[in-house]
Amino acid sequence: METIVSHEMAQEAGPRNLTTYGAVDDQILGAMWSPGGYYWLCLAIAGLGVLIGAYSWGYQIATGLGAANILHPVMWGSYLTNFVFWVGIAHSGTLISAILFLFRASWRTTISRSSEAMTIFAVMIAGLFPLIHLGRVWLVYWILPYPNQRNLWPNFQSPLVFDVVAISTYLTVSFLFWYTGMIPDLATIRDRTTGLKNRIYGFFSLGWRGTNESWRHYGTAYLLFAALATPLVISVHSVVSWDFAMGVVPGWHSTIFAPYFVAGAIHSGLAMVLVLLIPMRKIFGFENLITIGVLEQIGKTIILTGVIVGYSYMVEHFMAWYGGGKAEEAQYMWRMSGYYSWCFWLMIICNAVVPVFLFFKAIRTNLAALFSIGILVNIGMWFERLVIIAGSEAHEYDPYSWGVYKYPSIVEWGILVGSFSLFFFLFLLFAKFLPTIAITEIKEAIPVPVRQK
Amino acid sequence: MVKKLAVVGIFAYLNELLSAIEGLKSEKIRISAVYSPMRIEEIREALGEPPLGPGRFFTLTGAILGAMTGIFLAWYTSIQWHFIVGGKPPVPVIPTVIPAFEFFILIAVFFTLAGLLFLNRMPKRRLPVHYDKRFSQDRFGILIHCTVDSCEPVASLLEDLGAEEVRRIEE
Repeated sequence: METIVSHEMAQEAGPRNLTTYGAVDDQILGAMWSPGGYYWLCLAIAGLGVLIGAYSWGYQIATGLGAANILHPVMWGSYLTNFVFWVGIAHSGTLISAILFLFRASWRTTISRSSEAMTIFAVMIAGLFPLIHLGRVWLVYWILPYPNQRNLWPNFQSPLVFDVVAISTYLTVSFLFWYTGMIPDLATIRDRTTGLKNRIYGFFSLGWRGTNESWRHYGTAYLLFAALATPLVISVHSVVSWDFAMGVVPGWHSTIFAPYFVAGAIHSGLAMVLVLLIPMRKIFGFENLITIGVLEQIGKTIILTGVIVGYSYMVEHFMAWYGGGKAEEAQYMWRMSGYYSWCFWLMIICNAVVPVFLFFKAIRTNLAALFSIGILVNIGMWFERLVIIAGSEAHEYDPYSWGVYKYPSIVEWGILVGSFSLFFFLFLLFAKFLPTIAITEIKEAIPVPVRQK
Repeated sequence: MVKKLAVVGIFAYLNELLSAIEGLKSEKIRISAVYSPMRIEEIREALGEPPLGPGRFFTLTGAILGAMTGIFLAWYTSIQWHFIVGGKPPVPVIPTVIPAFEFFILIAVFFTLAGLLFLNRMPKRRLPVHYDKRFSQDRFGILIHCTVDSCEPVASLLEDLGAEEVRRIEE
């Protein structure tokens, strides 16, 4: 007689209604093979957005950077705003897959794979923006450290070069972490398919067999990956923040920037996880895997990051007043009452006030409310980057050089739409061809089959 | 080429697999491999293996090499550029921390992955003959390499220990 005993990993927020390993495979792989009509509709809309973005960038390449509203003194404009925004979005994936893994937060199990995918796609898109902002994108190789006739090397003392190194390391590490975690699942797919699919998944599963030795080495590698990714994720957005903090610009030149940016990055990343996973669980029928309990845990974490972000806003303004620097003080007064003041107040409401509602359990467990909060926090975080980047450049020391960035042009909007569309497009492709939920981790989280004698 | 003989016992239940491992150990029969669809601590404990594999030494090597690479790159490129600005040192220390840290992580991760692949003898184009596709889904397996004389007793023992299927393999 078959009975099921509870495995120690079975958790409160874990998968529901799955009692056998076969059922796990059937549900997760079944969603891949036949994702349903909504999936194709979403893919088509996202694909259209990608075309809009590609056309806009192509137009800018053909006509020059004048197609964007980037002029002195705000030379970084929306492109660097988008860059920092997307790097921020990338942060929750590693938080969920690596940091929560080290803390043994088992509610991460069903969402770690999707979050890691989100990280990779977000970093890829973030990496596009410095290229878009270059104008002459074909000269990008100048930033690479290669031997050349004039002995010119990138300056490794510059925060901008730190950034290139940090972002490319983050992309590489995130990708390898994601791929390594997926190898056993690819082998599961290999063993359930035939023909061309079998050959493709077989190639990428690298001949994985699942022996005791394989699992031991895999477990060691996964733990070490997590241990290495954890300081990396903290460092990456710190390094991004130094792009600003190391410049002597009022509003940028502050030691709080690194922790403030990291908290903000995780804040926006978790919000994006909600925005992606709430529709995904519906489209793919994953309600029993990505449970309300899991989403509630994300909501609780957003409270934490929202409070840190809100505190950082207050500290920034307090230090500007307490520090006594006239330019700094003027910058922060201008932020609250100047040209970008509506962006500033929108940022405060979305990032620091709206998450407070998550203190209420009724809100935390309501899908529509969670989805709306996810959207609002993302809007708020985008505006935070605009306020910091454009606001500070627009109002530096000398009134003679003041000026404003008059919001994105139609080309910049097209590229922004294209970036979001590309993100969703890539994610949808990922959901079609790869398991969005870690099959082996779900198997670890459900009761083990045991025969009672 | 001489063919190797092996017996594979396939199990549906974890408790029977664990008792089979204990039974084989008490009979002093060497287990070549135990297959499972996911990581199971109880199997590792039953086999008496340490929790961590030697892959960590690959990581350590990569981490040291990576940090040195970052420092070398930052200092070498700095020395190549003979242009002293504002009395700043040509070979700085503090800004070197960032490339050193990033390369430390990057190369350590490369070595971790290389260690995983090396220790698991991956990538492999073909799966071994004894491999059963159910091992990645919902079945457990015990592989025992044997001689012509010992194969039958081992197979009978596996059946007695609860294997739902026992296969004799030549590979």
